[in-house]
Amino acid sequence: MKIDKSLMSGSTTLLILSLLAGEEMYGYQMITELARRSNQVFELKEGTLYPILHGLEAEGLVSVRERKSPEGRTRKYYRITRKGRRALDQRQEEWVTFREQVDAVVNSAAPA
Amino acid sequence: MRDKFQTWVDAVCEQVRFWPDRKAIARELRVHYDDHVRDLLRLGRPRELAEERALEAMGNAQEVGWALDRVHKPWLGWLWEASRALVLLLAVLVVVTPREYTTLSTLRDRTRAELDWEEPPASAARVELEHGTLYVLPGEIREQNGHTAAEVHLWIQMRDPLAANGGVNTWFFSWRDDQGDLPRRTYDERTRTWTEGRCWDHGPPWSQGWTRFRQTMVLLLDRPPQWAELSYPPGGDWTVRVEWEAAS
Repeated sequence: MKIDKSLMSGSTTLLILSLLAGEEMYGYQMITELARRSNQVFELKEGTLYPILHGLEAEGLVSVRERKSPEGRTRKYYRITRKGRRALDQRQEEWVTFREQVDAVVNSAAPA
Repeated sequence: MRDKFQTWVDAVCEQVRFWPDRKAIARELRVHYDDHVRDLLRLGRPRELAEERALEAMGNAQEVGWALDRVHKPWLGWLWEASRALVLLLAVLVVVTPREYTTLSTLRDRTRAELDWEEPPASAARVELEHGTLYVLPGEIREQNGHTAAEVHLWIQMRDPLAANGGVNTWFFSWRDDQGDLPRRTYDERTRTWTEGRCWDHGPPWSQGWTRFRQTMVLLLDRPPQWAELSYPPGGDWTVRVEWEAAS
């Protein structure tokens, strides 16, 4: 199922921080993992991911380190920071509130 | 297609005004692209198709470049670089300066060690200088080529002799003996040269920090002396006398 991209754009940071809350990841891994966990619903463009990641790094929400993968390729791995975890908690709360209110409005419009 | 990716990534990096970050950005995007191509090959796609799909997935180069440029702000980047340079400078001051000091100390100690030094005997005449101490002791008197050669043993300890001598690494001592005020020549055993004239110009080999050295000078005279006086500056601030008991 394809969804409207604008629905996703507001929650991209939340999705990325949620992915990184479990483990450190490199960019390509995030894209494949996001697609897998959302049953291929969320398809983040590669070119969109990196500006967001670099922005999160600049804000101190994620940290980066270069590491060799088991295949011997040097990759940049992103890891959520303490500040990032606090930001994630806050965004999750906002998301829950947002989702509840959207549900409330949508359900109220349903035919009796 | 690899060339097409390079064209794409070049177009991305062109938009990033803070050029020091471009290389890292290009490298990260390259790794990502290669990962994607490899995954598609693993799924059985032909290479050409895999590379085409992977490149499409990277998005519009200009838009990606603009987005990255907004994050990699030039003023922020240069501020970061400046702070790194400052930290590096501080590290140099904190770490390297003591090391430099250590190096100087080591060199000074090594130089000291290389110098011929032994404690002067208690019988040596001694004069306290503003920047150190000088000891003298009479040595052997012998005939040499129709002249009399009289040895004088010197022990010199000085603190910063260069500064002590007004920045000049040459000390003009003068000699006077009981027959007049000059030996014909003086011999410097270290440089193995005879010096003409009444003054002896000899600079300490090390001119920073404490230094000390032992030296034997040979005065070339017309006949055996009873005593000789060394002064510095010639006829100046201090004088020290050596006396030969056996002189006749």
